[in-house]
Amino acid sequence: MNNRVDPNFKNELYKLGNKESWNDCFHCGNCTAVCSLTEENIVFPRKAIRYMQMGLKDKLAQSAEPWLCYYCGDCTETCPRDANPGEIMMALRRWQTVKYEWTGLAGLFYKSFTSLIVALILVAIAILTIGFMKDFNHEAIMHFGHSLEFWLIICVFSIILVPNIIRMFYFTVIKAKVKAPIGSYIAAFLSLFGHMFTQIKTFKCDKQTTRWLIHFLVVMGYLGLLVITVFLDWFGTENQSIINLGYITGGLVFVFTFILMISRLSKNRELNKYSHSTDWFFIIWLFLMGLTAFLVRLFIDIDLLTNNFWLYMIHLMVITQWGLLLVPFGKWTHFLYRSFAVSFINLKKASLS
Amino acid sequence: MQGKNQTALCLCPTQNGYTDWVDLNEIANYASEKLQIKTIWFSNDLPLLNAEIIAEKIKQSNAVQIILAGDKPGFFKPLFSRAMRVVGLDPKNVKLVSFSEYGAVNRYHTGLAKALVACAFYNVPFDVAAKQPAKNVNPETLVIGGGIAGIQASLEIADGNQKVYLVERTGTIGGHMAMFDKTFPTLDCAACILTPKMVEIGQHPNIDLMTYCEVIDVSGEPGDYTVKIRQKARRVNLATCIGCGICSEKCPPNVPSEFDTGTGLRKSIYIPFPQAVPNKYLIDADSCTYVKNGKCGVCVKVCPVKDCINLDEKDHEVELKVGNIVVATGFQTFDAKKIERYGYGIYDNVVTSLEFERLVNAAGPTGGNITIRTTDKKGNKIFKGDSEVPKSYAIIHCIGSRDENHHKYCSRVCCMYSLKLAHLVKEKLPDAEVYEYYIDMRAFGKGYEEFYNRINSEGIHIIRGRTAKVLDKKGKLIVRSEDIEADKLIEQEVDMVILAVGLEPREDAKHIAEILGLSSDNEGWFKEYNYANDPVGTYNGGITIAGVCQGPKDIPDTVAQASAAAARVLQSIILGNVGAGLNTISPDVIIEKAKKLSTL
Amino acid sequence: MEEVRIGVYVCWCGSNIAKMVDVEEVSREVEKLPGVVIAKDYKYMCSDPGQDLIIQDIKKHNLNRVVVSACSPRIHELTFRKALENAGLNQYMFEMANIREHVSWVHTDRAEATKKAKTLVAGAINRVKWHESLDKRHVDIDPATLIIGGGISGISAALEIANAGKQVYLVEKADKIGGYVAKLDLTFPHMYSGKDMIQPKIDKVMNHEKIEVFLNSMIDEVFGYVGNFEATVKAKDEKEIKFGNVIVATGLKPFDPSGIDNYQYGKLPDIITSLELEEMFINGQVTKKDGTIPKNIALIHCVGSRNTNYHEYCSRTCCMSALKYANQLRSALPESNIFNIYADIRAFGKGCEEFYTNTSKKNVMFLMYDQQNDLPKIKKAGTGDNCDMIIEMNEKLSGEAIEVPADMVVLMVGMKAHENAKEIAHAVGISMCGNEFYIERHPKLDPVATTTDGVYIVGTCQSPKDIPDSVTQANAAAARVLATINVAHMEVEVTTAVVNEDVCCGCQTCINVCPYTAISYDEEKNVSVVNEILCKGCGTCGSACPTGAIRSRHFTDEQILSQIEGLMSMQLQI
Repeated sequence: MNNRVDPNFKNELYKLGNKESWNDCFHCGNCTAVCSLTEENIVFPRKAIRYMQMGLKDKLAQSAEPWLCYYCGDCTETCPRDANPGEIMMALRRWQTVKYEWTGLAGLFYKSFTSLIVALILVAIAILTIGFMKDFNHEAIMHFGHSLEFWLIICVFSIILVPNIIRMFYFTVIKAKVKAPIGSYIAAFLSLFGHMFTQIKTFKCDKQTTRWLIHFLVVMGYLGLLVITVFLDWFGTENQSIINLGYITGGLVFVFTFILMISRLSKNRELNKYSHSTDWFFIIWLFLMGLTAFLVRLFIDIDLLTNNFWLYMIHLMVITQWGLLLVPFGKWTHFLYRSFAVSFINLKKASLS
Repeated sequence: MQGKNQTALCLCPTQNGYTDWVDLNEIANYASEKLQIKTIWFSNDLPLLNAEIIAEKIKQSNAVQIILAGDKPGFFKPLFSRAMRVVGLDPKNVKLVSFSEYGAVNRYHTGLAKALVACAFYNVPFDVAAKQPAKNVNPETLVIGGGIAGIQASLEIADGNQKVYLVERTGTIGGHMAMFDKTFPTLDCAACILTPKMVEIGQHPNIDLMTYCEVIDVSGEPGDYTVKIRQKARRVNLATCIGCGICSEKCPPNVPSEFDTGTGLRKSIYIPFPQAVPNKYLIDADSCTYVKNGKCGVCVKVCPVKDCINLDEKDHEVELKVGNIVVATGFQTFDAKKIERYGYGIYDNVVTSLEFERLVNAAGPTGGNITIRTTDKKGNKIFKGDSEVPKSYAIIHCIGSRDENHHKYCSRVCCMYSLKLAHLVKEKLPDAEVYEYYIDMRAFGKGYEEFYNRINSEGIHIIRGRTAKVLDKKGKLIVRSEDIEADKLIEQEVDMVILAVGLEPREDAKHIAEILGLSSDNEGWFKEYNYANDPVGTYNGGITIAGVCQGPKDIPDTVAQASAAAARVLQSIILGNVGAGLNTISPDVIIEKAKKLSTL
Repeated sequence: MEEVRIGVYVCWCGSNIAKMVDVEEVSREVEKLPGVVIAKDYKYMCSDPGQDLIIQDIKKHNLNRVVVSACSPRIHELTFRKALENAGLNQYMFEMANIREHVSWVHTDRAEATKKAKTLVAGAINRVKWHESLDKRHVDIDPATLIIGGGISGISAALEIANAGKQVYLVEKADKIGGYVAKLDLTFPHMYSGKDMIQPKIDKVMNHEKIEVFLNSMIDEVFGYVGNFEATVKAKDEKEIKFGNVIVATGLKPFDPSGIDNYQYGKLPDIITSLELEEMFINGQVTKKDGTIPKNIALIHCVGSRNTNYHEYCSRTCCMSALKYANQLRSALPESNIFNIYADIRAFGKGCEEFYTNTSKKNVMFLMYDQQNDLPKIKKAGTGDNCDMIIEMNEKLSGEAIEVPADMVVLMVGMKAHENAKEIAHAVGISMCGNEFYIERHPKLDPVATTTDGVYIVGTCQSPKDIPDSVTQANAAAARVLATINVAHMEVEVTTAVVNEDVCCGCQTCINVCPYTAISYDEEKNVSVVNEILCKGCGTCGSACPTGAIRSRHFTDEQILSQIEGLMSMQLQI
């Protein structure tokens, strides 16, 4: 029965970060009303918390609302029961990530820290093996690395990410019986890219400007670095402006991820109080990626790389781990789901009006 | 009977994480050395999720009875009862010793906790072992606080032919109840039912009413207390003032009236409200031009009674000897400014429920016309009868109550008075729209649910969902809430927002507790002797508590409690003696007595 | 007869009267009526200055009769009678016209309401002309007290009074005292032991030298009046007792849920009431009928309460009891799934909201339903359901139609008045409201007294309440009793019936109609005789008397007829 309440559902959430406050909520609706992002028919976090408390999994899978939350912390700060709605929303997003991901690896990595470590080590060994097989020939390896990056992106996208988004669409639009006119699909699709790159909705949250800026710069840096290394062959190019652009984007990535790490460590803000281990992998690998890319190009420019080829090996390991494990099965997908959720919610709004 | 070897003691540490709590190790030592209990467990070390393992442990210990002692051990009792049953023993032999039941809540009370454990061990009821020695009692009684609780207690005792001193901090008795318009659920006007009682106090031959007085010190012992009282300078002779009001007419300053919660003005020489008891004037030194500048004295000149007003009068102290003290100091309302999101103190037409009581009150600043708040020339934010009439109202429940960030407790009266206020608005302005935002509707008393159903049928929008913030949009107030049952977010535009502020202990409650040696709970309410059995007694002999100072309650419950406190006083006077108080008995004495009375 | 000089006082009652009645006009108009010396209006007649106004006028204008037109005489007749006394007038030279409850509160046309107010005042003025001085009698108070009901309320009241050294008779219907509290394992919100709380009190009562306990006993009928009651305790041996005050503490009866079809009580095996669950806890064994341990347990709140088909009122304790059970179940059966199916959580007492908060941390699922219009439906589960029963309900906080698995359903039954409530009410002379709870003298300011002097109601016979509130009420009644005992005498009403022996024909009609057996027949004189102690002044005999020999003091024919005349004349004038 899909409308049967399930008291054991919370056990699934325990592993996804929500520890003690899952049942504290007494449904006053304060969180929904204090949130700057809620609208007349778009109510959260309370409704999602309710589904969670009751264990109505189908209902939860059909709610795109948790992705609208940017965890500004207002709901948690003002919650009269210290139920920590913001953190519950975070846990629900992780649960949905697991739900939408079809291979089951996301679930495995979220719930089992060891399995993620094992996978990371396996990838590292694979890279070393390939290096060994190619006799650590610099040119061959760098050539291999370049095409690996390219194929990794193509494969991960088509095999994992696109099917996951289709699954998300299936749950939140088709199963949720959202019936929107065709025109609204086009509008939703067009608005998608704006949201994806700017995450402009964050602006509606109060006191979020700095945080938004940092995120924006990291996203821009990351996407820039991706394009420059993969498609413009940063490590191979002689074009000085591309090289400089690469330095800027790489720098953006590791400098601002460093700032984010520091703020997470100091945990001075409500929203950083409860970091899940997977969040740390995400941010550390992003940082390593930016830093190693930056150093590799720097070593090329000052002609040190030949004698320090280990640096490129590390960079390659980081990139592969990132692309193969952390992007499709980790927090990276949030970026994707979040953007699509805005579009799906727009469809829901169109169907209600 | 249960021998020493057949008792197992399970100690339950505090569940609230207090560091300063009763020392359980000391109790464990005591139990094993003095009571010779061989099996002592700490609940933290036990598998509290498995009755079978507990049963096994009971079996191993050869115990036939278990004493669960500590911080609310009742929460574990069902598991132990079940385990006893599994072993084949009588579940009735699981005994509870709740330290907090008799106020053992910190490490200074470890001795008391020991005594509680000993009583359970010796199978002697604690109250029997802790029987207090009787002290001779002075038949005169002090009642502190002139609200409805103090009034009721005073009348009850005085009607029993006993002398009462009723001490009130302000210039009149009546307390908060006198400020209300009507009372739920009968809609009796508060003044109609209260003023006769006030009049009775003023006229009662057995009551010595002392208004504008404060208790500053209490010494002596149960049955024979010496109370020091500061008589604040009233500057008007109570005996000769005829209450004509000429002085007030001519008095120059206009200052916010406390009785009108600052929403109306009064003079420096004033009576708090027309039905005040005593119906005599007093001078507010803080605003009196003469007291401040040494110039003015108009009141003295116009007063028709010779030597009635003495502007140079000073505070003086009075000493009383009493046998019993009834504490009925009441409450203050939650300061809504503490929750900025609701805009109180920022937007003029966000008002507290108490302010609104004055606004709808026929004897209030507008004569009962509901109007918006305006600013007068001197910057006073007041209600005036001829201002604009708001057309739509939002009433927000649970302001400062049921909130981990403020007061965790429920204030018990807000739901009902909010419904009442909604009704009063509708009664005066049938076309007004009223929106009530609540979490749970707590209509629990006699006739309350019926009242709720009635209000519900009067066209008032009662919405489940706590408002999160009030915003200003071009002079209109926007109330943002989730309508939970309609599954949507609403941004309601209204003209006036009424905040149903909760009740909290008075600012000086701590001070009063110190003077009298009373215990308070974590929130600051005075602690009763025993939650269920004795809601009016305290650990101090001859001191009882009544009304909201013990915890939020509505008028009938307050009145009942006040009468109950009076019963205790009358009982002691009739007997001629009073119990010396639990806090005067050494735990060792209790233990000795328990040992002696023990049937073991 | 002396010259009639009447003062009339019209009260504004703040805006209560003034907003619907032109009180100034009423005062102006009635001042013109014959006999009226002065008429005034004032904001609050009942206040100190208001009463002062009357007292001053009596002295100044030599008034000998007063009419106050204000609220119901139930509220303020005594207040003004006292004022008259303070001014040196006999307190019965007073009449009240109720222009609030009878006029301003119930009318919407100001002109018509003002007219009606004038009419009522005119009636009162006409009546008061015929009033005569009556003298209050004092009665001595018998220091013994009868307490009916040996639950926590009765026990507490008994101890409070007996501890002051005064005699108490405690009559209990059952074979032991303690009532429902003695059947509780634990009490909310601190989980203190119910037994430890009440057992010492029971022992004290049973062994108290000042308390005589009658078990398996009922009270027959209470005769007499405040200070001087007497009754027969009916048990194996009947016993006559005399006492000065009565405290009624008859307690409650749990609601019987078999009438609610949705809940299948009595039809499915593991649907039990809260009382049955309580017993399971006392026995340390929460099991299904087949002896196995239930995996899913649902507690349904508000059974028989807050629903106009059963009882409209809230039973005040069930929410907290249900939370208590959730805690007990969590401890006894740590692996179970617990569902609290509730309407509103009413955790209003000291420490109760905190109790609710802590309960929610114990893995209890709270589900909200509509207790008035949409009750959950319990049905037997199918084979694949993995549980015994399924509860179908519309959950209000999610808006979803859901199913709740259950192996045991606990119905939190509400409180009703005791089945003997009606009988006792008749025996003692207490009024009941529609739902058979006793009516207090004033719902706010006098919650334990009744309209009959010397009769008090405490605990759940007055309305549902929890233990501390019951104990408080019991002690409150004790205060009243102790006060009257301490004063040792009391004033009583004198509005009784009197027989004019010259006119009485000895037909004995009155004896047959008197509900208080207050009239006897004097064979020697061939007349009826009224026992003024027993007479409650109801007037039945007066209206039945064929010769007009019986007159009810303060309700004489002249008074009533001229009041009617007054009402009519004013009507004609306007």
